[in-house]
Amino acid sequence: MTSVSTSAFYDGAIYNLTKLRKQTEDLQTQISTGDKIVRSYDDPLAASQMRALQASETLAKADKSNTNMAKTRLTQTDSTLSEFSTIVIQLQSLATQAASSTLSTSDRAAVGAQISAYYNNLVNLANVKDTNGDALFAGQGTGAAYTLDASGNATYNGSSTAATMDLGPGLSVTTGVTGPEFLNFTSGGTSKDLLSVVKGLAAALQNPTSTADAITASQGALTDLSAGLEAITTTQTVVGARLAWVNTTTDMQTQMGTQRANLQSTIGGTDLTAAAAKLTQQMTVLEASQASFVKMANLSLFSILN
Amino acid sequence: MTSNMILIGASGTKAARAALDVTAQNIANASTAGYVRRSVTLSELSVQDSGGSFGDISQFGVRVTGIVRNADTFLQSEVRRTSSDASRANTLVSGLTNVSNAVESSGVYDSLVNFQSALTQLTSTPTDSALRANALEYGRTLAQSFNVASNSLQSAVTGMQTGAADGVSKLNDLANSLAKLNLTIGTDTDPASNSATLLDQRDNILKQMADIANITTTFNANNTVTVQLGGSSGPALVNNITASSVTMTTATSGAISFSVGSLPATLSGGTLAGYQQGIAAGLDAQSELDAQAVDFMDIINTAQTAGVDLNGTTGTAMFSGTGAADMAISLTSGSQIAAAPAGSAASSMNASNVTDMLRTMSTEKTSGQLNDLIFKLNSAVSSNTTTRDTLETIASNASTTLASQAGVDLDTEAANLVRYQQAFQASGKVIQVANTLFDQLLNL
Repeated sequence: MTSVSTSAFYDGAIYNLTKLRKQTEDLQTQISTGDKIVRSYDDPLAASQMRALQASETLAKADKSNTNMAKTRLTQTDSTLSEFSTIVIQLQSLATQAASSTLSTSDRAAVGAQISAYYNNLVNLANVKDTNGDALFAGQGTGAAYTLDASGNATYNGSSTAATMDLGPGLSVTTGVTGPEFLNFTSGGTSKDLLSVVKGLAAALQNPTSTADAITASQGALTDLSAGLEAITTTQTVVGARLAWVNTTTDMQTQMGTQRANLQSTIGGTDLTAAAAKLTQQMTVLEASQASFVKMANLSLFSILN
Repeated sequence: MTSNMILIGASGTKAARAALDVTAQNIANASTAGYVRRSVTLSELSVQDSGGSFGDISQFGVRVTGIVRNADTFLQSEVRRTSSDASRANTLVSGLTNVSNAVESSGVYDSLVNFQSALTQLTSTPTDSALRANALEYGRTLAQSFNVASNSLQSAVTGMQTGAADGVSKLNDLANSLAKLNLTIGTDTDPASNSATLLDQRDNILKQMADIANITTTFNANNTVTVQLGGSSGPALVNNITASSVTMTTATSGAISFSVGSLPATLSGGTLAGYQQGIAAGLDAQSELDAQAVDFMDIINTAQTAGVDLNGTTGTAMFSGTGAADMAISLTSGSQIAAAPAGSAASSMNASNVTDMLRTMSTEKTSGQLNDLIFKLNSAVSSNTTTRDTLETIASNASTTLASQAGVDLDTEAANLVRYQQAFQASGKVIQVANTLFDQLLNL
């Protein structure tokens, strides 16, 4: 017996129409939200991948902000180092003048006073602060990089190494240089530092024991200054290389971000064309089912009997 | 002879009236749940060689021998079995959905990632008090998210326990009703009585019981039924006119079990089995969430004590608690985050301790594990939804088969209505003809 009871017919029709309607609504939601995954348990694997991608996105944002911070600090280091080299070049020309025997003692003392002023500038530059108010050349220390004693001699207070910053999984960069890394150098086989060389020169010119001594001091200082300048430019090259690395990292981050976005739209995005076509198909089926249901429901023997 | 004809006609109208009554009853109950289509069985009333000479025709018309209930017991038991399975799967899916949502919508995964991100940002400038406060606040949010996830899981489990307790009390009510019904059915021996209605009620109760728990039924000759809870070796729930009581026991872990008297009942179908499995899944998720919370707190707290805070003092535990439910932040200020390694001076720009913290979280796959947990809960919902859909299709097929066999088809009833009306009119005509014949005889 193939006949279906009236209630079974209605129950079946309701079941099928509801199912079709739900499928149509799901498609509509996918199209209007642009997300293929409406509920994460519809496609657990894709939802899990989407969560992982979202997490990478969040962490990448932190990496990006760290990278920007590293870039700011390195750029500031670079430009401060340029200031240093400008001053050292000035000092070189002043020392050249002082080394000349034609200069009178008072003129040499005036040059010495100028060098002494530059010394103060160098100390100030060595104590320059970064955008967060921390000393730029104190490494991992946060106080002033150099402190002056009563007689004006500078002493380094920072840590021995500069801070390193993580730029992402497995990537890191040293975000600065410590003072001694570019202010200390070797000249004539002995270890010297730029600040004491400059201070010594100023003192030798301002209060010379003799003209000859002053000239010798100036000549010695010239050798030291050129070694010092070399130390600064070398360090500047290192900083430049680090900046280039940071820029490479930024490019990589941008690329990874694009890849992530692509992956996200592949895994979780709605294929609009396919979804729209499917919606049209689904609606045709739904409309046909509704129409045939109405026809079937009217097909009662009672409506013919009177 | 004419009196005989009138009697035959009268019996015909009676039979047609009875058939029309049954048809009307069928039409009226076309959409009554559990109603089984009735039909009238008729038999001829005739006596051979009664009293008179050989060959004398002794016909007395027709009589109603009974009202038949067109129920197929096999199909009915199939409906019960399949709907037990479907309702178990349905309950389990909604339980698992609640469990999965509890963990997912607590935002615990996002909070963990945000916390990691805040720590990563802190490494850029470990002396920045804003970044420190930011990391601490994300830590607080994370602890609260773990709390929310745990509470939601707990309430999902409690909800299922309440549902199961409600199911047990309904099952006991049904068992009592069935025992009373067994008494009425057993004493009802008159075939023309309303036994069909009683049997409908009996089958209805059995169907409701099967939705709550899988049952094994044995029908006795007098139409009463014996019900066992669970499989064929399960404890008797209704035995003739005696109903036993089902009890639910909740273990300290929260898991539930059922018994009838002192006999344990193992259920594989019905909402009760669904709740039982859903609760087990919820408790599993709960303990896994706790384990992950503890692992996470261990990583952070161990790293904290390995470093020094902004003031240069050795760090203290950042989180306190024994699981997801009571996890809380125990630091009061961002400056207490031990960013620098041991031995560093106060206000150190060295953030390698935080870097180590992040590295450990990465090697221990802290966020990955949480993602896996959510994935596992989601897939449980997804795979059980597929099972549920299959079982519901099977159940719906079984009930459609039963409905087409036992349900009312209005078209058939409409045809019957016309048929029996014609039968009534024909029998009436017979009486009229008999009357006319009688009159003709009188007028001779």
